Order: sequence, then structure tokens, then C-alpha cells
Amino acid sequence: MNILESILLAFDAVRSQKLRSGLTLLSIGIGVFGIISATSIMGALQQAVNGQLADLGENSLLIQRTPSINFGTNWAKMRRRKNITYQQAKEFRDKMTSTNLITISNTAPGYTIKAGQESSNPDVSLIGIDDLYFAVNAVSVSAGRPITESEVNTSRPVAIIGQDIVATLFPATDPLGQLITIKSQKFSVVGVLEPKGGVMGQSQDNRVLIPITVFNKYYTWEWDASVDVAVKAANSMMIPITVDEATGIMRSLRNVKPWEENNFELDTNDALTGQFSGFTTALLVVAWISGLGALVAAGIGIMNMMLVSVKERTREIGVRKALGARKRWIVQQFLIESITLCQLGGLTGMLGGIATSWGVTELLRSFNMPTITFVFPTGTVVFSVVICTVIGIGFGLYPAWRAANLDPIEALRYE
Amino acid sequence: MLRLSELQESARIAVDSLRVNLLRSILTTAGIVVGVVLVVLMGWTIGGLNAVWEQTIAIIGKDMLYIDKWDWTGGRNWRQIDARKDISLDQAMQLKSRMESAEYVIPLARKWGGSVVKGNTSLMCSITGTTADYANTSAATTLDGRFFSPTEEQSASRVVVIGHGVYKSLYPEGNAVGNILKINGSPFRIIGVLQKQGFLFMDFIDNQVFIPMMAFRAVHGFFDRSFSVGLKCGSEAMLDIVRTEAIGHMRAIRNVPPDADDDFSINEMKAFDQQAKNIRIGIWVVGMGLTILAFIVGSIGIMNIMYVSVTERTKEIGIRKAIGARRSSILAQFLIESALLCMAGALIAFPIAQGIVAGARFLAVDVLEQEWASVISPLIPLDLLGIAVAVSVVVGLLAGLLPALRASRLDPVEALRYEQ
Repeated sequence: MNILESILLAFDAVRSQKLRSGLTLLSIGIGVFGIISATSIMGALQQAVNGQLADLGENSLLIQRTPSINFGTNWAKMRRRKNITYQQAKEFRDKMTSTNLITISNTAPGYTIKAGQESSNPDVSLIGIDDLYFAVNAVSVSAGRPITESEVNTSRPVAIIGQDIVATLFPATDPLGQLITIKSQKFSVVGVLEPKGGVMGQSQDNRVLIPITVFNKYYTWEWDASVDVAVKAANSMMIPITVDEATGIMRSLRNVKPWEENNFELDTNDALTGQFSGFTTALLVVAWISGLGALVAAGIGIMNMMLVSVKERTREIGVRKALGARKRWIVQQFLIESITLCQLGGLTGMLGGIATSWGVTELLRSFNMPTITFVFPTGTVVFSVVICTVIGIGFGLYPAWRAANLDPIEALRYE
Repeated sequence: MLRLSELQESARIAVDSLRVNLLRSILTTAGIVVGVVLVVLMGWTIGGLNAVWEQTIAIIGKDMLYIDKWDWTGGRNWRQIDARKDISLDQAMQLKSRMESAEYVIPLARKWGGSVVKGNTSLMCSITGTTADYANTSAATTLDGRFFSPTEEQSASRVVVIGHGVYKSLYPEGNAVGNILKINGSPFRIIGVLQKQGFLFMDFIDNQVFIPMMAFRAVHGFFDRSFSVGLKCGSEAMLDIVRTEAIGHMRAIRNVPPDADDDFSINEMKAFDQQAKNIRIGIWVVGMGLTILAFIVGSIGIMNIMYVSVTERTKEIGIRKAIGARRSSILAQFLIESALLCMAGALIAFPIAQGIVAGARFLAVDVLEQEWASVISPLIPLDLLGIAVAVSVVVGLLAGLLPALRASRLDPVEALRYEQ
């Protein structure tokens, strides 16, 4: 008896006992559904949040001229907004009392970095920063040191480079202390950024950081001379206070009339940052434990139904044995039946789980998370196929063994 | 109406059939056990989180009011709040001399984004300047050493009491008392370490240090600073009395016209409690929603096995009906069978869950501080057992209902003729 035949037999058994099989499938499906939907939804949320906040650290808020997340934005209105000048940002920094951790930066894309004969791709982001950049943002230096306050004040030509730049320009040498050239200006490398990897296909390591004073002198884009101000609240409870204060100071600095809307963007992602990942992790743990628990309960149910099935088919087994079926064949037949049941249930759960998480991501997208994208949970799908097989074998083994060890004479006589 | 003797008969048959198919009964029960264990554990975890939260609130002080320029709930009326005048130390001291109902009136100067330096390492934390009265609040309970004394306060001694978070970060090996920390360049001697106060998202509370008010002026200055005033009320019952009195004095001190709103906020722990409430509800809904999946699966197992049971005993049902058993009697027989299975599941699940909790708590002691682990109950509350059993019986009845109805509606003639 070959495996295909066993599978067909299993389908026959499923078909002949529709209600019973349906309930069994449902129970396996619920377990798989829990695991797939929780993993997939959390994955999508996490990715969306990480994408938005690739750099912004915990408890931080970002003040920009225009929003970093664009959806339904009235660009004509945005363009009329005046730049946040470096001077304005510095005044803002001095006026804030609820926190000292305020950093001013500006980014310009599309630079080529040269070192000796080597040169990088012309798509490097150049970021002008100050000494508190690393204290506020979730970015850190893995070798060398950050840029100091005095280097910012005296416009020293120093640079911190990302891992991609290290790989192209200094594959074999130690980058620290080397000179790099950016548009004919020479900088000495004092530090290397910790690798961050890519977010949605965009590398976060393809960047060079220099003092913002130097940046302002040579690299400011005429049409985008507006700086970004990142503010780190002292703690999560201080976020509302810091937001209030920052809004107030920014409005007064930019002469916003009381009846007018803000002419700048203030993004805070307090609830969605550090706490968010802790929260998703906890939720994932609960989801996995519950899902696995449900799968074990379903497995027990399968074992029960297989035992019933063995009992009901005692005569059939007796006949097959009398006709010379080997033990191995009987075991195989029942194992394949239980695995088939598990896989069918798993498939149902998977489809349900994927549909649900797709629906939830679409729903979130239509509300307030434009960057969320549905992530097909490939890993979890593979895992559920494996776990369904394991459960099918684990809980089907005993009933199969019991069927195989029936005494043919007794079995034939069974009523 | 079902007579008692009939009910007894049904129950006996139900128990018999459970006993005859012992393995099957055990397996079905096991499915329910898995579900109940998970739900009960979730219930225990949520209970533990609540207990820890209560403890945090209790340590920080349920009987404390804080007068601040800012509102802790972070109202959106920033323009109004921003326009408020700072609360000066002078105003705080005036309030102190006028207040009668509060046990202690404690001025506080805070620098949220400060840092302390130990050798080459620096740590971001908030720095609070206060008076020796602070020692009388529950938040000032020390793990090691002591809070500063009135003498030290008046002489602006360079002494510092560090929060538990600062202690853990800077002195992981212990023995902080007697060491020197630098705050804004000047050396301070550590005289005390506070006990752990915050938990979950309140842990920033442990990330602060306390120094005498005048020492605070020496290192950070009073310029452009709004003070807050802590009022220790003694008991929760006194909160309203103290609040009313404080509002009256503060309005007088700050010359608020009778028709104007308060130009200060009175904050209390309830503000945090409100914020925590939504999170707690969310945890409850998601946690219970997920763990209940296994329980549903278990009850589907019961339903399934009851159908099998009905099919297998079609002939028996036919005979019973033929000799006069009523539909309700058959119905009762199968309902009792499934309810018993479920109830047994809940009863067995309880000791298992209790065992897991004992183990988990053992681990929790390792992860958490000792004082926190002791807050979490080592026992699963008995009312949870009651609920579990009751819910299981109901679920058992529901799961058994369809199969039992099918059995009770069998046509006796057909049933007698039935061959497997």
C-alpha cells in the first residue's frame, strides 16, 4: 500500500465522517489561526513603527517643517511654511526647561564620498548633527567617538561614517583617522556608526554625520534649509508636558497667532516606541503560548477521534490483517490519516489567520497608519505546517500502534 | 417534568459510560484541562500585575498631593498652562506656613534632564532638591542608609540619596553608601539608597536622586524654575480637605482674581491610575481573548466526543425509549455526561496551574526584586477556582447540548434498527 493510497483513504474517512472531522479540523484551525494572525499583525505593526522611527529614540519627539509621514498632506500649504532655521532651533533649545536633551540636525541626500582613489555611490545621506544627537536618537557609535560640543561650536571638519561607507571605502583598513572628501571638503573620520540594517529596502547605514555648523556652511540645500529638532522627554510621563512646552515655545518663536494652526510638525511616538516593542513581545509570547496550548488541546482531540476511529474500524483492520497487511502498513495508514486531518485543519487556520491579519492591516492603513503593509508570515506558515505534522504524528502514534497490534482473530470477531 | 428518580438514573448511566470509555474520558478531560490551565494562569498573571501596580501607587503615596505649574494628565490647553507664572520657592514656603490640614508641606525643585557622574560613567536621571520633611513620605523609605537630616538640609550639605534605578545602574555590585557622585561638577556623598518604587512603565520614578534644597540651588540654581509642592495628607480621607485648603491658600498667595481659574494644578496619583486603566483593560481583553482559544478547542473536543457517544449508543437509546424513557431523561443523561467531563477538567486543572504558579513565582523572585515578588500572590485565588468550575460546567452543557438534542430526538424504531 503506497502513501498516496493512504492519503486517499484518509480523505475518504474525512468525507464519511463530515461532522466529526469538521469539528476536529476546526479545533486545529483555531490554534493555527491564533498563532498566524497574532504573529502577522504584530510583525506588520512592528515594521511600520520601526520604519517611521528608524532613528528616533524612546520618549522622543521630532519637530520638522513638514511631516515625515505623508498621507493626505496638503503640500501647497506645507510649501508656504517658513523654514525652521538653525538660529530658531537654537533659541528653542535654550528656552526649553522640561528637558535638556534637544538635538538639532539636518539631512541632505545624494552625496558622493571619496577617500583616496575610492569613491562611494552618489546616494549617501549627509547629516549635520550636534553633540547631543546620539543622546536623543537611537543611533550609536560602534567605534571611535561621537562629535563633541566644541567641534560643533568651532566647525571642525570631523565625520562619523556608516557601515556601508566603511565597506566601500575602507574594506581592509581601519577607517578611524582617515581622511574623506565630500564635495572638495576634507574630513577626518572620528567614529563609525553601529550597523542598523535596512528598513523596507532602504539601508540605514549609508550615511555620513558631520557637525551641523560645517553642514550649514557647505551643504545646505537652498530649498530645504529647514532643520529638524529632536527632543527627548525626561521620561514617558513627561512626554505630554514636553510636548506642550515644545509646542508653546515653537509657536511663539515662529509667531503663530493664537487662532492659527501650527506651522510646523511635531511628531511624538511615545506610545509606539520602547513600550511598544515590550508590549508586542509580551503579546506575542501570550499568543504563542495560547496558540500552542490550543494546538495541544486539539491534538488530544485528534487522538481521541483516532481511537474512536480505530475502534469503529476494528473489523476492517481485522480483515486487512487476515489478508496479510503488515503492521507497518496499518500504522502508516492511521498516521497519514491523523497527519492529513492536522494539515487540513492547519490550512483552514492559516487561511483564516492570513485573511484576518490582512484585513486588520488594511483597516489600520485606512485609519491612521499609512505606512503599514501586510507582511506575509512565511516563517510562521512553515512553522505551522511543521507543528501540524508533529502533532499529527505525536497524537496519532498511539491510536495507530493500537490498531496495528490488534489480534486479527479477535478483530474479526468484534461486534 | 423530569422526576428525581429519572434524573438519578440518567446520572448513573452517564457516569457508567464515562467509566466504560475511560481512556476516551481522560483524553477529553485533558483537552479541557489545557484550556483551563491557560486561562487560570492568565488570570493569575493579570492579578499579579494589578497587585504590583497597586504597590507602586502605594509606595509613591496615595495620600500625596502635588501642586505644580503643569498638569500631570497633560491637558491639551498648553497655551493656558504655558502662560501660568512659575511657582516660586517663596510661594511654596508661604503655603507651608499657612497650611494646617496637611501633615507635611514639602517644596521640591526638579531638574528632569540632569545627570550624575561616577568616575568615568555618567547617567541621565532627574535631580530633585527638597527638604528633610520628604523623609516622612512613604516614597523616602530607604533600602540602605538614610534620608538627609534637617541639619544637613539647612547647611546645604553635599549629600545625595539615590533612587533604586540609579543604584542598580551605577553600583551593580552594591555598597553605594559613602561613595562620591558628581552632580553638575560638584561632589556629593551618597548617604542613602531608596527602595524600589516603580514598576512597568512607572520605573522612571527610580531614576532620580534627592539632594538638599540649598545644595540644589548651589549646583543648578533657582533661576527660571517652577517649584512643586508635595502635600502629605496622612490618609486618603484627608485628600479632599487638604486639596480644598491648598487651593484657597495658593490662590491667595498667587493673587488669583475670584473669577479666574486656578493658575496651578493639583496633581495626585489618580492621574497615573487613569492612564494605567486603559492599558490594564487592554491587557485583560487581549490576554483572556487569546488564552480562551485553547478552552474553546477543548470544548469542541467534548462536543465531538459526545456526538460519537450518541452514535455508538443509538441502539441503547432506542431500547430505553422503547421501554418508556422520556426525551428529557435522554437529554439529561448526555448533558450530565458532558458537564461532568468539563467539571473534572476544571478541578484537575487547578492543582496543575497552582504547581506552575509556584514554579513561576520562584523564577519571578530571580527576575524581580525580592520585595516585588512578595507582592504577587503565590496562590491562585479561590474565587478563580469557583469561576473556572462554573464556566466549565456551563461550557460543558453548551457543548453537550447539540449531541444530547440529537440523541433525545432519535426515533426509537429507527434507532433499534440501527447497525454500526
